[in-house]
Amino acid sequence: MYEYELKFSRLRAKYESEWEGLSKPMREARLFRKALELYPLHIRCGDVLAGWYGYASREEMEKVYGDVPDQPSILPEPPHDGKTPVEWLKKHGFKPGSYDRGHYELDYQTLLARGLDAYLADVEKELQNSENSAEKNEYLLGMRAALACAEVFSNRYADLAEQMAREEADETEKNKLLRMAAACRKLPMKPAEDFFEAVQSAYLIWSLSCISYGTWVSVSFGSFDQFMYPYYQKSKEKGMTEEEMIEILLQLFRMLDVYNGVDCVISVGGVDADGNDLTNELSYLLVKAEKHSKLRSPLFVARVNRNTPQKLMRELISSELFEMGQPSFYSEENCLAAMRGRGIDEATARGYGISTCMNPVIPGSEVTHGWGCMVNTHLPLELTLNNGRPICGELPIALKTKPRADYQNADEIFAQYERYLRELFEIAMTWQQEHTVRHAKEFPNPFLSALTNDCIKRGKDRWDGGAVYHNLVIEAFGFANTADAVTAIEKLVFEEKKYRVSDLIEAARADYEGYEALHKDLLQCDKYGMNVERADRNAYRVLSIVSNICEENRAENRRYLPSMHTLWTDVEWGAKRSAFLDGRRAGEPVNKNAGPSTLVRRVGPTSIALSACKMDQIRFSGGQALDVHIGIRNMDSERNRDKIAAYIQTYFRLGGLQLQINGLTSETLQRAYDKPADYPNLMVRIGGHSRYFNDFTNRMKQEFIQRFRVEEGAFLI
Amino acid sequence: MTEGVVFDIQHFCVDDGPGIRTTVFLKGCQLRCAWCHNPEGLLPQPQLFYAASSCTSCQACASVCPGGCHQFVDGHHTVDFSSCTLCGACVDACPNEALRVSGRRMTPQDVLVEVLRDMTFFETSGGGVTLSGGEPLLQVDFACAIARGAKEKGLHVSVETSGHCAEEALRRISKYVDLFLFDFKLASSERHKQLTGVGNEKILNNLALLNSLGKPVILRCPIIPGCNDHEEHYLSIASLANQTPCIREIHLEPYHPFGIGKYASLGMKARYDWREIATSQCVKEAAEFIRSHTNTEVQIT
Ligand code: SF4
Ligand code: SF4
Repeated sequence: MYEYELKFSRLRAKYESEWEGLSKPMREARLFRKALELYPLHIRCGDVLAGWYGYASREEMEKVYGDVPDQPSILPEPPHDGKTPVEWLKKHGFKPGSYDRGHYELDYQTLLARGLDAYLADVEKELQNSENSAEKNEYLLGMRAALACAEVFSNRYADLAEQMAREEADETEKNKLLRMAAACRKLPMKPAEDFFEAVQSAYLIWSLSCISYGTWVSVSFGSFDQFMYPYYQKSKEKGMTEEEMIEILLQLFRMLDVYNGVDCVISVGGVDADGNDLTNELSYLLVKAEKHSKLRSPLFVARVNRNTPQKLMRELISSELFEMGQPSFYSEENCLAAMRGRGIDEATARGYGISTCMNPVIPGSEVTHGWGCMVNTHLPLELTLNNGRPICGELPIALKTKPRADYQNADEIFAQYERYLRELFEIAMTWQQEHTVRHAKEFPNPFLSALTNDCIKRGKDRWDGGAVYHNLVIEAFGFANTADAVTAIEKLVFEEKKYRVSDLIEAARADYEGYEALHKDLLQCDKYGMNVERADRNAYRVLSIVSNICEENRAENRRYLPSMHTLWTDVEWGAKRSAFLDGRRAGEPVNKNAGPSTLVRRVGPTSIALSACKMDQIRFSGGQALDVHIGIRNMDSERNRDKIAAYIQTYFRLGGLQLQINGLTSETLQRAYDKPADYPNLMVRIGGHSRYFNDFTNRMKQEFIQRFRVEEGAFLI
Repeated sequence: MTEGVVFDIQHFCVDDGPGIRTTVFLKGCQLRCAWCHNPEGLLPQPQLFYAASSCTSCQACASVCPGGCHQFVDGHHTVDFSSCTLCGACVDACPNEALRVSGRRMTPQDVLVEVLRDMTFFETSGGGVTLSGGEPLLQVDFACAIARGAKEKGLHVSVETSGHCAEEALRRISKYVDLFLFDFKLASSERHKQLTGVGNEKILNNLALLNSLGKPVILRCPIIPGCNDHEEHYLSIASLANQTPCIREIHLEPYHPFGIGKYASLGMKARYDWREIATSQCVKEAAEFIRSHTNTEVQIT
């Protein structure tokens, strides 16, 4: 049993008394130093990079924490009585996120070139500014202390490597250790000079940033083949072989797999300012290493543009990668358009990177709350149609929006829908903002803030107004179900006059028990994902309302980024929701990511893509993966791979942002469901992630199999 | 307008011609291949399809069926397919989608509308429509109308045929067709008759006709374990390709028995319970062998 989680709360409890009287930023810097001093480090036999830490026996970790018990680590939330507006919203799956310590990507290009010493110098310089407030200086001093202790960590690796080198008999191994030691004496404080140093430095900085928050989740590298390329070229000129480079990359991947798991992005490709494709030799080398590694990590991303070489596409569309659930495809043109849509200037937008499973970001300049708010898009529809009340459960709070009834058409429904959504969104976001600020003040992160523009200049924490861009991703849960409900009402209530709205509400309240005929009528209505005009238009309208509200709430550096992400939480989230008006029964999953609802029958990869493209995806810069299932028997055939490439390019040409292709068939999944032990490494991809099939609950597995069946069949009749 | 009976339209097919394709399955076939795993294509008329695995024995179907086709003995559901008039009442009544009608009457226009939805994908990938079956040329007027309509829209048109059809039908449709996917199952006519119900003379004559018309053909060869997975057959494939210049490529299709359960769903009986899968190793070896005897390109689908 190993433990490699850093329990800040325990360290804090143990040493707190030593830091009494210090400012909060200084206290956090001291805590960071403690971790870097005490954390057990390891270099394993055959290692080329230094970087294992933690991963010690429980006893060893107990020495670090002493006998201090585990503590609750996050700022406690206000009491839950279910009566406050936010508590009520949360009960309905409308959940503002409290605090996000992940979902960031540093500016490695600058970090590698300058080294952390340069950032220390920036802090020193800012401290000389006579106009600083006391609070700002206090924060800057915390930053200085935090940056300075990075060296403590790398020097410990250098000591360890030197000691091991002294004891090593094998010449080659000894030299590797000495190279490692020399690099760790210098990095990450000084600039990196070749490929080895750059990877070592980037990894150390990545680790330090993770340790500073005590979490490894959702921390990305981004455009690795671009920022590493100059170092690659230099080392290649000096004679470093491809094998040596792959050895370095493979160790990096192994360490990412252990610490991060599933969502550290390394991307290949892109375009320069003149629109030239940026694929380089390192891009191909990374693909090669990735195929070799057979690990979940890194999350391999391909930035595809219309000039992406056929050769790269053929390398990426391979059964080896597809079986690992890799890669994730992003459209270069549409990501850029999405960044421009955030109101970012052209040159900055061009520097975007792909972060985690989610979206494009400006590396080193933003804080992103990846789960800024999960929006239950169906709740406002319930309020709209049911006299201002949810279909099931109480309404313990007073809403300002005046209820209305007797709708004649979808326009009237959507107008009222927008009022309710706006009101609910504002309740959620007011709470969110207060909570974030409270957290940032109580638990600042001076180390990571120093590496985030413009925290030094502003002398502020990244979450407290320091970062250039402060983003909250707003996930539109169940948008397809909500749209399908409106489509059904248009057909069954307004046109055919077969039912009244109140009939539908009654049936949904009864979870459709005893309303079988009505339920069947609902199932037979057109749905988003079938590439049918009206159904897609309603999805478009739901999403437009979400993005309108996000955009109108922009303030200062704060942006709300609409997103269709659910990852795999469509099942978990759906399990807690009562019946929807589209025929979805209580507990059933909602639509997954940018895909259709689980009730839809007549869909296939082309109809799903065509429906999704009708959405204004570039407004959804919080990201929206589309998962499609393509069961191709022979992936070795170059022609078949070119057809998949054509599919991807077409989706992007039509406005798609992100695409995940599952090359598995439902038969394989069924076998894996029946005999999990035979398929320990089977991975499925979902919303930007790859996950082991066996990590899912049976319920989720069944949902997968069902989904695959429907889409493989693509039955018309 | 001529109507036809279609039992499936599948989007994003990759094995039925160049590019991304939509494949239309026309119902009805005169062959009775022992290994056939798509029995929905055999009979020309629509049929009731009952998926036992989805049935919960709720008996809703029994209560609406005018012909008493749904019987329940000890909670076990049996369907009397022969008395079914396809009124569709039970299909509507079933809450579990366990019943459907396989085969729908459609006009060529209906089919084209569905096919053309994927136009963008055809344009970017050089794809188009494939008429398959069953044997599409049994419904020649219908097939011609679809092919003509598709051609008018600039689509690439393929026809997948067993070759067992009227010469005239082939001649008529060929003007609208860019590529034929032509089956070749067994070289010996006698064996062909044994295992498919018909000899292969007509089929080979039709292939010769396409050759004389100069129509590009992909020869489709199912590799069926215990039936034609031997070198003698591979040699006959190679020599047929060598003698017939219109054959541009040979496609080997590894046999899989996954559709075998459909027979019971349609109230039909499989001729054989053919359950062996052609392994990828075996098909790779077949491809290698054929390549060594012809210059025609050999692919595995
Ligand atoms: S289609 Fe009509 S006749 Fe046939 S089984 Fe169903 S209800 Fe009976
Ligand atoms: S109605 Fe459907 S589920 Fe019920 S017994 Fe008939 S076939 Fe089975």
